[in-house]
Amino acid sequence: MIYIYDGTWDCFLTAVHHYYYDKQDVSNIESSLCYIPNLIDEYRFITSDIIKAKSVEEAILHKISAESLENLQKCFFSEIEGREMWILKYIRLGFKIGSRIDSMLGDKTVLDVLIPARKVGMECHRMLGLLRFELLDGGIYYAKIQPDHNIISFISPHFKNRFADQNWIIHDTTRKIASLYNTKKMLLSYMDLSNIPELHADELRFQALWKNYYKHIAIKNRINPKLQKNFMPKRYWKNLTEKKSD
Amino acid sequence: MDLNEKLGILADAAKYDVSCSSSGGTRKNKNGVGDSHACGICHTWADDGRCVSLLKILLSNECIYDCVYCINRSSNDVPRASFTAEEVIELTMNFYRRNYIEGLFLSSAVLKNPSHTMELMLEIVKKLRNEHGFFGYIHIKAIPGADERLINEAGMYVDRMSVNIELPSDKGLEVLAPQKPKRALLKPMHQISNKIIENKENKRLFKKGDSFVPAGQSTQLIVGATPDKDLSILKLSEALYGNFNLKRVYYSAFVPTVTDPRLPALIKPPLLREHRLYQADWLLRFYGFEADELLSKSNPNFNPELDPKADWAMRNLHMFPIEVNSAEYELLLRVPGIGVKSAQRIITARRVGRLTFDNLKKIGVVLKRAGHFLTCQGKTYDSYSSNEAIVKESLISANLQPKSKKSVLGQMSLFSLVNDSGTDENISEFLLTDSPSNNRQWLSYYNQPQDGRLLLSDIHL
Ligand code: SF4
Repeated sequence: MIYIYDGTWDCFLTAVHHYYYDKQDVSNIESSLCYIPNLIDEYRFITSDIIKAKSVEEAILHKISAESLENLQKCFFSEIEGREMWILKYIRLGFKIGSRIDSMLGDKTVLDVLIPARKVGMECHRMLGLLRFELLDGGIYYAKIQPDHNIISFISPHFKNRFADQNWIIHDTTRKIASLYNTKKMLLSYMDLSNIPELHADELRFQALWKNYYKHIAIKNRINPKLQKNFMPKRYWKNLTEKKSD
Repeated sequence: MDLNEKLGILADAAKYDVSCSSSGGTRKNKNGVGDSHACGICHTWADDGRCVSLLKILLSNECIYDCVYCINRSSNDVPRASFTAEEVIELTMNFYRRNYIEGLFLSSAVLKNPSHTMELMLEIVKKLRNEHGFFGYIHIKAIPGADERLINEAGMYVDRMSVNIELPSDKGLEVLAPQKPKRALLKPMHQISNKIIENKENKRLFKKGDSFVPAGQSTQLIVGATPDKDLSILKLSEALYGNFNLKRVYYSAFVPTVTDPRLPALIKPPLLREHRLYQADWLLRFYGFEADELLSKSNPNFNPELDPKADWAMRNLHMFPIEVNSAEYELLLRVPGIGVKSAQRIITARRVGRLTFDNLKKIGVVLKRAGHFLTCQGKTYDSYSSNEAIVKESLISANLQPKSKKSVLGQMSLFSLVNDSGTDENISEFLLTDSPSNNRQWLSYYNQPQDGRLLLSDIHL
C-alpha cells in the first residue's frame, strides 16, 4: 500500500495517523506532487485533517521528545527524497523506546532523520547571514531567497525579532512562498509577488557603498577563492548584493 | 571627499584587525532595530576567505603616532580621511537594515589626542543606542591614554571593548611602537576588566542597571613581526585569559604593509604559525590544556607538521590507548580526532549502549586520527599501531588529506576556529544550537489552497 499525500506537513502527519489505524502495511508515503501512478501498486489518497495531524504531533512530543519533533520537522522540510519513510520509521522506533532515541546517535534509523535535519539547520544558519534586503518604494524591505531546503518558516521569526520596526518581505522564489511582516504581524503564504514596487531612490547608493566596502576589506596578498567558496557556496551568490553582477 | 571614497580608505585601514566576530552578544531588541545573536552570524566572506560579520572601519586614519608596523603611522604616505559621527551612523543603520552586517566594529587611529578620539567614538555609540534605537552588536577599540571616564562611559553602550596589545613582548613594543609601552596598554585592559567585575557584582546585588561590556574584552597579537617564540605568545594569552578575563585573544600573521629596517623582511605572512596559535588557543579555552603542556623552553615553537593536539599526543603515547566506553570526558577530549561535539556525543550515546568503532564513525570521530589512541570494548582499531613512527606518519597524512574545509589555512573566522582546531567538528552542527525555533502557526500556509494566491496589494503593510 502506498499513501499519497499533498506534500504538506499536516497532510503527512495525517498519513502517519492513518498508518496507525489501518491494518495494512505501508510501503511508501509519496507526495502527490512527485508520484507517477502505475497499475501494480495499491494507493490510498490522504486528505489533510488538522485534528489528526495535531494528535500525531502531540504524541511525538509526549511519547518521544520535543527534540525529536524538531528534528523530524527539519528533516521533513529538507524536501530530500525518501524522507517520509525515514520519518515514519523514526516515529515507530521512538514510540517504542521513548526519548532514549535522542541519544542513539550511531543508529541508522536515527541518522536518516538527523542528517537531513542538520543540513536544514545549517542552511538556516547560513541564510540568516546571507539574506539581503532591498528597500522598495513605500518603505518595504524586500529579500529574495532560493534556498536548497524549505527553510522560510524556520528563519522568519529571527527577522521578526531583528527588524521589529521595519516592513519586510522574504520571498522564496523557488517555492513561490513568502513571509511578510508589517511591524505588528507576520504572515506566511503562497504569494504572487510579480507586482512589487520599484526600488527606493536611495537603494542603489547603499548597494554601491556596500560593494565598495566589500571590495576593500579583502587583504590582497591573502586572496583565497577556494576558501571563500567553501563557506559561501556559489549558488547563493545570485542574490547577494556584493556578488551580483550589475 | 565623498562618503564612498572615505569608506574605501577607512575600510582599507581597518582590515588587518581580526577581532571581528560578533559572538557573545545577547542584547535584545526593545522596539527598535536589531539584536545580538549569541553565537554570531557571518554575513559574507571576503575574497581572502575571511568572514565578515561587522562593519569594520576606522573612525579616522590621521594618526599622530608612528608605530613602525602600522600602515597608518604618521610618517607613512597614504591618503587620510576621517568620518563624521553622522556618517558612521548612517552607514551602520543602512547596512544593518539590509542585513549586510551584524553590527559595528569601530576602531580609530589617534586623532589629535587619545581623549578627543575616544570622545568622538562615545558620541557615535551613544547616538546609535539612544537616538536610533539600535540594538545590534557594537565593538569598539578603547584608545589607550584616553580619559578613564570616557572609556567607562563608552563601556555602558557597547557589547565588547578591546585594547590591542599587537606585539607580544615589551622588547618588541619598545622597538616598534615606542609611543605605546605595554604598561600603557595593560592599564585600560585592567580598568575594563575591573569594571566588568564590579558591574556584574552590582547587577547581582541590585538586579538592575545596564551591562558594562557584556560580551567581554578581547585583544589582538601580531605574529611574526618580532622574534617572539610561540611559547611566549601562548603564555601571554594564558595570562590574559586568567588575569583579565579576556573573552578572546586574536592572532594575526604579520602582513608587511610598510617597509622599515626594523621590520623583518617577510615575503609571506606566517599563516601556518597563525593557524597553529589559533588551534592551541582553542585547546586552552575548551579542552583544558595548559600552555606548558603544549610547548616548553626546549621546544618553544609549534610543530609545522602536526597540530598542537596531535603533537601533544605523540609526546604522551604512554597514556594511550584509552577505552571509549569508560574514559572520562576530559580524557576523550585529549584524543586527536575527537572534538568537543563528538566527545559530548560519545557521552550521550554511551548511556544507551556500548559503542563500536562503526558507531564512533557515525558520531563524527575521525578514526584515521583517533584510531591509534582508542579501544572499543577492549578491541583496537584496524590501523592501530603502537609504533611511534607509524602513528606519526599516519597523523601527518590524515592532516594532509585535502578533505572538506578543514585543510584550508588562513581563515580567521569564528567558523574556521571551530573547524581548524584539529578537531572533527562540522560548522553547521556547532552553530545549530541557536537556530531559530520553529513555530507551529507558521506552518499554516500549507493549509491554504495553492491557487488562491495572495497578492501583495491584498496585504496592508
Ligand atoms: S597608534 Fe595605532 S593607528 Fe597610530 S600608528 Fe600606532 S598602531 Fe597605527
